[in-house]
Amino acid sequence: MELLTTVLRRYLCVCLCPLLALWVVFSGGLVAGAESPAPTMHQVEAAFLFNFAKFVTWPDDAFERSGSALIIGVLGEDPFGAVLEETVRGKTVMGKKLAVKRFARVQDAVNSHILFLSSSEESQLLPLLKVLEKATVLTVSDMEQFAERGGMVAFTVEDQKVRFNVNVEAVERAGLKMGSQLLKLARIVSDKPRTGK
Amino acid sequence: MTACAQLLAASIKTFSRAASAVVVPIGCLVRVVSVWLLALATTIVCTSGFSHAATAPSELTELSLEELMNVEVTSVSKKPERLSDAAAAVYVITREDIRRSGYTSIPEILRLAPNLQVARVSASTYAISARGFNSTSANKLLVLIDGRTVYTPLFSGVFWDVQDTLIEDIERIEIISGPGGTLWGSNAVNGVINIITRQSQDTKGALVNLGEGTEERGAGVRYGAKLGEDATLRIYGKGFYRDNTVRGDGTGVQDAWKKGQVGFRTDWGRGSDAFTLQGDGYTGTIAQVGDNVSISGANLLARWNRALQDGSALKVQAYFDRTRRIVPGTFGELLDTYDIDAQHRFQWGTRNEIVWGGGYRLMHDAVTNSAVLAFLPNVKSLQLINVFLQDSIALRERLQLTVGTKLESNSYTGWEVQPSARLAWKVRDDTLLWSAVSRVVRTPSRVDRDFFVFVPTFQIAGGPDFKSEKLIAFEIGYRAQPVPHASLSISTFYNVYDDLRSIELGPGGAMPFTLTNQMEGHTYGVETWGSYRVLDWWRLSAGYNYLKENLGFKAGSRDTNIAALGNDPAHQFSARSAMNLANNLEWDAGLRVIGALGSPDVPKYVTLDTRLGWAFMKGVELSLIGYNLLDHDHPEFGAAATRSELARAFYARIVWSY
Repeated sequence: MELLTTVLRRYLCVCLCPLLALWVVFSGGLVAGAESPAPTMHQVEAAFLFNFAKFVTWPDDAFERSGSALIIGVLGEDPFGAVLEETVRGKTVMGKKLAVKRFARVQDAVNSHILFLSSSEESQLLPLLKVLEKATVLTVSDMEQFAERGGMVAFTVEDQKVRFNVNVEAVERAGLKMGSQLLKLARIVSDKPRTGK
Repeated sequence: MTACAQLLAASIKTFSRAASAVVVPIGCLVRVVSVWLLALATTIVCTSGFSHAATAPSELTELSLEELMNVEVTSVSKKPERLSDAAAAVYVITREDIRRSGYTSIPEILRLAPNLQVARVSASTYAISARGFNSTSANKLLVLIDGRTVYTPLFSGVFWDVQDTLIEDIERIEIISGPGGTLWGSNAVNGVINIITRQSQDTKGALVNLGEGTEERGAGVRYGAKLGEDATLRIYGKGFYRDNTVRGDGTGVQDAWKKGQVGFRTDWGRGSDAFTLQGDGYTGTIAQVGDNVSISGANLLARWNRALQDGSALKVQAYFDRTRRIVPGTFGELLDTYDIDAQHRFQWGTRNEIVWGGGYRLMHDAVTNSAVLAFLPNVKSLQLINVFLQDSIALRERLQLTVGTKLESNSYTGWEVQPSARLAWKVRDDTLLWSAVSRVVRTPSRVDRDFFVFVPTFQIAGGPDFKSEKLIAFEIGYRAQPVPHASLSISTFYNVYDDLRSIELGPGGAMPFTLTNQMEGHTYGVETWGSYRVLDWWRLSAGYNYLKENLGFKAGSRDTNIAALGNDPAHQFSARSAMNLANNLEWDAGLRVIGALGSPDVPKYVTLDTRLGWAFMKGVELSLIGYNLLDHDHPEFGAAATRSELARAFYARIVWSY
């Protein structure tokens, strides 16, 4: 019985201490919480998507079926919530209105101009990219190694800052032109296996 | 063995063992709970204070690209939440794991999960549980196949001999050890098993498999195709036969198991809508002395997902499930289940993600009674109504609190509350510390309330006052990827149980027995697993469990049969190796070391399964599999007089797909 109580107490201590520690850490941060907190990763990503709309050039026929709106699509489970709408609300780029659409299936997304692939789609990434190959869609995602696996723009977070990798070959294959303003800030990657290492 | 037979057998052993009562230091617990609640209350109050101060998204578009690159962000958890971010002990068996295991049935595949106890008793009977209380009628686990609950309200357990699908079409199996009552509902006491099949767009084309071995044979066929622009369909059929088994003393047992099953799944999607319709039908027999046991059933499920404009999502699902089981000479059951559920997920402000929903289930259970045992009334309709709400709050950059509760009403005890709070601290991108406290219940099943036995020397007269069994669970876990090719998970738990089932004599020690809630106690343990990619072509993984159970009877109880509650090893170890060799050869091996069981006695055993796979031409794979290679045979569960031994066995399997 005594042994039991000892074991119990010891376990509860183990259980309790980290919780209390977390609580202390958290309550210590309350004062700091009064300041405007940093934006979320997805807020910054949404702002980048808006910038991609500004600095990427699509072939003219890419707008034939969209009624001249520039469509930013999200494929799969949407990580942005209302953020994407708030970001592009009332904005125009080169005289084109920005519209946000969400898609459950890739076949419906081929007429969008920028397509964010949610990490919910990671398990079937290659077939998805295969479908998008024939479309003039800038593919963007924050999945790991997205650009190396055939995607065009991959978000990464380094030192709490959003960075992006660009697979230039994939962008060119789709007939898109990416402005130098973007390219000089991007890390250029390739989906081709490196030769002669 | 059926639930009632199990209960009967367990009950007959009453008085055979004495157990010392355990007194849980309640005061200590109350203190812990209150500190936890205080911490939670404080955090909740505080979050509401600073949730509206986030930078407006439109301001960010005013920044130049260079400025945008310098904005520091909080890493609020990605949605959909990856399992690696979940504040729970989650293990996932992938399609690749299943293919490489060489196992041919769902219960066998569950052996791959280090956080489950899986033991086989006969050709078709399994005892499967998480965190203890294992028996062939284990009743603290919730099992779902594509969102369809498959535990039976007869005894809150699972008839493992009828849960099946085409093995190649399983996408993954998620195993959560620990309570899941807030989202999943009653019966998710010690764990949840989620079996998820592939979408039909991923199973286009034909597949044929054929297997033949020393203990079993099986075959399956599937065909998947496009149905126009927006839809795909697959249909499958399968059948198998598993041979009679042998007891430890060499006598043969008539328990051969055979079953045939057909099914389909169609997925349709356009724009933001996705619709799934799927169903299965099966029939089979299990040999016994006298007429065979017959098992059959069918189910049909429809699910609709809609992605709404603001990023929220709506899911509505309905299903019908019929199961029929006839055990000649003992009992028969026909169970019809009708279920409808709806769930809505949305972002509230910048820090809160809310999931809420509700459901209704009607179970119409008709039992054919025998002269020995009966469920009274023999026909009964049970209803479950539930509503739930869960909020995931991003407290700080790397700290997420998930609080929620489920309210569920059942036909026996009315409304039950199942709240939980989970805290996830992402110490680094590859390191997660989590902790949780949950209250969950196992609501009465028919065997707890309506079960009667008429043997003169051993009478049971139901459980008129049987209440829900209750658990308060404390969990702490750590999950990390310390180096790029390795992963590690450690989960610990401390579970406090109350009102567990016991069986009591009437006043003055007179017959009949009734089922009551006079048992209580606590369990604690550690579940740990990890994997390491030694080389590009070689992966090692291992798991170890420790479990300690301290259970006893409340003051005033006359029950002494602790063993009725379950039989669990204190130690369980497993290791697997997966190698990709030259010439499209694969070699897999899995070792299991399972500690001894106390009552009934089962000796400790060490066993090895291995598979050699050869993809000798495109789309064709041949596997040679050996099971239980380290001894001629060994038992895994049950009393020596009634259990079968698992013999060394071999199996060859060919899968052709295009």
